Amino acid sequence: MAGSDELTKTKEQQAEPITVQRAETLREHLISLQQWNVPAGQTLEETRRAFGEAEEQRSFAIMQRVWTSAQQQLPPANAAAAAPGAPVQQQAPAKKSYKERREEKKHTKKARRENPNADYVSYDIVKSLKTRTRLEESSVTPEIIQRAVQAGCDLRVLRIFCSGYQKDKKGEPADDAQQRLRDQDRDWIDAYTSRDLQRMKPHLTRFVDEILSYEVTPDMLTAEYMRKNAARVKVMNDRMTYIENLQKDPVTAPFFQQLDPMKLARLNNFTNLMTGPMGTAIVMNCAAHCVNANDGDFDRTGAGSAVTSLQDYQTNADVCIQMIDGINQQIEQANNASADALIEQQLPDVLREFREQADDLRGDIDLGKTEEDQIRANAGLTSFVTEYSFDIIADAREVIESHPAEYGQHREIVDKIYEQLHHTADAMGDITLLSRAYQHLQDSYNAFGSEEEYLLSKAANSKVLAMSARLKPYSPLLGAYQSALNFLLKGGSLGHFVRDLLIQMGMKDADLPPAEN
Amino acid sequence: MEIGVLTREVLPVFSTLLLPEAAAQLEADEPLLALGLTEDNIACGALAGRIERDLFAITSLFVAPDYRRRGGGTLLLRALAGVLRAAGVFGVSIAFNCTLPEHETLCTFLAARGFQEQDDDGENIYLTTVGGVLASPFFAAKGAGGAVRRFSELSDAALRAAERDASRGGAPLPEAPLTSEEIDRELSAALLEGQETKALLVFDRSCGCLTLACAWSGTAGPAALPQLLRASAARLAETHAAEEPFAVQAVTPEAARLVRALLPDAKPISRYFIASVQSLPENEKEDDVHGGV
Repeated sequence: MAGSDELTKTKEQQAEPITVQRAETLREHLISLQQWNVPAGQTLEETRRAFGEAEEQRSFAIMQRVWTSAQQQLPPANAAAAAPGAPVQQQAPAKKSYKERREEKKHTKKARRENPNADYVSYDIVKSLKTRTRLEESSVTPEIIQRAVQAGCDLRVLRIFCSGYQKDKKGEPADDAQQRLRDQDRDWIDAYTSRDLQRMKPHLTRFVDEILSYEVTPDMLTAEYMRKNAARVKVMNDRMTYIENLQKDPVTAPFFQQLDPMKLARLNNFTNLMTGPMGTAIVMNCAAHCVNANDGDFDRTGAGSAVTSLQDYQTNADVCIQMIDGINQQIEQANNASADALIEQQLPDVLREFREQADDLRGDIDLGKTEEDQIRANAGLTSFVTEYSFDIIADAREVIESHPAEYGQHREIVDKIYEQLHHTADAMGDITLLSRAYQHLQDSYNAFGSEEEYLLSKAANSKVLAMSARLKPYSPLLGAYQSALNFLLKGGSLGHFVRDLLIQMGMKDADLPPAEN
Repeated sequence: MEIGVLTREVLPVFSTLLLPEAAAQLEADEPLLALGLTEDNIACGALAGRIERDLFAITSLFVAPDYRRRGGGTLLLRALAGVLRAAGVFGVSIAFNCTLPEHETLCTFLAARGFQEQDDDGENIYLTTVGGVLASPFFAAKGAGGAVRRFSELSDAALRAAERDASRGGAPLPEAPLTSEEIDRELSAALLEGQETKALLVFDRSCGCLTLACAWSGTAGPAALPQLLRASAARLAETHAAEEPFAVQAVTPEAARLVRALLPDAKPISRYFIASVQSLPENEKEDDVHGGV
């Protein structure tokens, strides 16, 4: 910023009588500095935002100059190697016991009768899947299937959301826990076949909560884990697949449309991203061990059982397994993005409420009913206002108006500083409004510990932190303007930052005392 | 020795010479300047920093031990000074914690190259040992149990709720969430009233050693902090050796006074230096070796 040399005026110039002596006239003059110079084609809001952004972008613009300077002066760094590093050690797998090896040998022998390339892993996977099928059939009997078909139900949905139960020798549930599972299944079947959404709602809620509780990790999809847990992993994946059928079913779709938006977003983010790769890993792992994942039995067709094909299946499974961690991160990012979007949807109503409060404050102050308000009135603040914003202007005015002689000596630069201070305080208002609005939204989600509330609270908090970061330069800058006024008008102290600011605003380095520590 | 500008492409070679945060920022293309020091095609030092309030804040400065005392650190500063002068940046700052002998060396190095240490009104990180803490007469008195709960006794959901209560109450919480592994759950404790958190202490290793990172009394009143401190001190005596380093962050003048009163032997370790670019080394002779960092 160019400026005149305030401290080297001739003695005659310094002795000129000050033309703005009366407090009211000086106040009017200061008010005139508060006007925004709005370029043609731009609104006041856009001008204010551009001013604020210009301050925020200052650091980035300076950084750009630093980069350019560095690239002009220095070559790119290059090296073939660096100073010492440290290796990472992997944990070795546990050794198997003699008994375990004997069981595996027996199961491999049985499996090879079904497929010459199968082994004990194949045997255990088939056993797990067949156990699941038997459980399912305990609830989904032929009579139930007939009823479901007549009602127009999706049989896959009916089956996959039944738990099944274990029976005793009399064909009854083996214990109380199995009894509860049977009753739950019967309730679900009755509700689903009735096509009555109200009856289905408790079950749909249960399914959604269950799916949202799933944690899919790479180790779950390894052959070692699937040996004992193939059914559990497959049921998880099947439920993730068929919940979409329920979302599209015209009878049950309204349930999902009325679901808490964040919960629905979590469900969709999880199923959309994880179901495919997880399902592929399961199918490929099974195929690599000569098992057909769809019917849960050994692959007896012989097709695709050549060793090279099995190796290909395993490679494909490994590729999918390696993707799982990345997918979990994508899900987390998608959930964060969904929470961000939901917070932004709610923002306009909150902004409106805060703006109305600010307008009331501005109106009360401009009425000038109290002595304090008279000092603060006509601050010319066009954006969101707070008591602090008015105090900034009032304090600056007070310093200027109470030191008319000193003001006269440094009028041009003081005017410049006051104008900048005013516009900075005004531009700050837009960010303060956003900060308060996001804080309000964050607070509104603090009551409970549900995952949805936590995500929304976190999303709002990240916005609050972003606004804090944007606000960060403003307070020191306003402080610097105030300190500059104090230095020029009251002989206050001069720190490094204020000194550099005065130089930027046109004062000469040689004309300023050294900065104080 | 030579100086060059670090880019993402060569970051894999230089990353071990940068603090992890600076390396991550460079990787993420954030507004950061990084310079690399090499000798005979070996990366042996690096400097990184960014513009903060019109000053260039150095966030990482390191020369590999085998290459020190050969002028590498001076070369880095000289190159930086030349870049900043041409860009119209007039000040450089650097802040770090002084916990190792080589940090004291860095203080000497900076002072010899035009940097001036800044006073912080006592708001600093204070270093002592676990033994030093337990020797304080304040911690000799036993505290009542009351509703003090260690973080290890609380679920993740309860910890998140505590974090929300503390955040709303204006607590100076550390950056890591209270559920993260960086928080010491055995020592960290909260004062609960029903489901509401009234006060808490958070211990982590943010200063490179066991650190009291946050002490918040919220709406619990003045008796809460002593109660929490004594409860955590009792646990500290059970779980940590007396000679283990222990740090306390004082983020307000009042906190600084409290630390100095309770732990008079604790040393402030956070150091902050500023230099005018004009005062940094410029065009020194090649054989003028002041010793690198």
